[in-house]
Amino acid sequence: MNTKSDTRASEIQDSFEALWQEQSSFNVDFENIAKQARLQRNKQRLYMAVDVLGLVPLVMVMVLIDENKYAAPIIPFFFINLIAGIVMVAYFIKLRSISAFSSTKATSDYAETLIKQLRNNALISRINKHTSWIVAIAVVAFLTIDGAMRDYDYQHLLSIFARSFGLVLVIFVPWYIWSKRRQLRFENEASKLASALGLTTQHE
Amino acid sequence: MSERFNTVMKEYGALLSRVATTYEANEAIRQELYQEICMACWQALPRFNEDASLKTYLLKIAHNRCISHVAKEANRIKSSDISDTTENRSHDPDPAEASRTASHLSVENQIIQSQKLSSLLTAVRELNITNRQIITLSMEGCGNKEIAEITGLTANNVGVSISRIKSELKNKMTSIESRVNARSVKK
Repeated sequence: MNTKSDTRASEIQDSFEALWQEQSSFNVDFENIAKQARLQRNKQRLYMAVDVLGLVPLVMVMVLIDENKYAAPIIPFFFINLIAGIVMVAYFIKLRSISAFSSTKATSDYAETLIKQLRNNALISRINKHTSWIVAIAVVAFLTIDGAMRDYDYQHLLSIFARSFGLVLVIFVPWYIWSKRRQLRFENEASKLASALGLTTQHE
Repeated sequence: MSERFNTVMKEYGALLSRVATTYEANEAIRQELYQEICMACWQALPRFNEDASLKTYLLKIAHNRCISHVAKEANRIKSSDISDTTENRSHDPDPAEASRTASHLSVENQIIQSQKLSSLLTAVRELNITNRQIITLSMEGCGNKEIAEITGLTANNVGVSISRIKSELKNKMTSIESRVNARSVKK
């Protein structure tokens, strides 16, 4: 009885295999693929170099700044920027190395890493989105209060407020929209992947 | 490196192309995906240290690339919406292949085979990703241990799953074929 069902199962397997192998494949120029892959690898290296070089101006400011010439609060401001920059660059390099080296992991581990990465990206975009309106309010408030402390007249103050508000509209509104779109994109990707793999997601 | 890549692709190109077919129905997007898989293989090839077979190594890379593709596709229009029109066209046997098999099969048989292949592919794509991966690796002739290494499941789990997925696939194919027949009777 068992032998009969085993034979049947084996026949099904053979017929599936034979049918599966019948598929036609694409004709691709592998020389061109290798060329594109080389280009992509060089691009990744360039991006990494640009990430690291982006810190150079901040380091130079910290080294060359004349403490006597500038107000004291500006030094910690640059220092905080430098620390934030180093953290960001380290994170970007980590992401790039994860995507380069995780391709040979088992699929379940790879998928887990990818979902985690997508959720982290969504979180960063969310933080970025909220940073935009906080910075926008801070810029308008700072410029207006600064004007008020200098005893400018009402007309002048109104003009400062209008100009800073204009600046906010041009820079921070697109920043907010862009961050929000990225956040939704990453959340959508993570949740689609998790549900395709039969995992439950924290967004559902 | 280029020479080695060419040799590897000549041997495993068709296998990798079938992995792309498992995850993408739309022909144009599938070709893009196949090229991305080939590029990922090119990048990972220097790191191959012969711990596993080259076939297992490449299959891991290809399936992982496809997993990223599934995530990215969340933001595109659903490709399976247009798959019905592209499916039959994309799997028509090419002229050279057709002439090779012409001596063995009648035209009618070829059409039946082509329809069967089409329903097999549709049925495979209806499975969840893990089952899809297990059954296609099995159809590629991978053993339970190899499948376990690629998917990250245990070999026992794979062994138990295969027969269950096979019968699920068979049921799906029957239902797809009857849907297609009902549609052609209506016309």
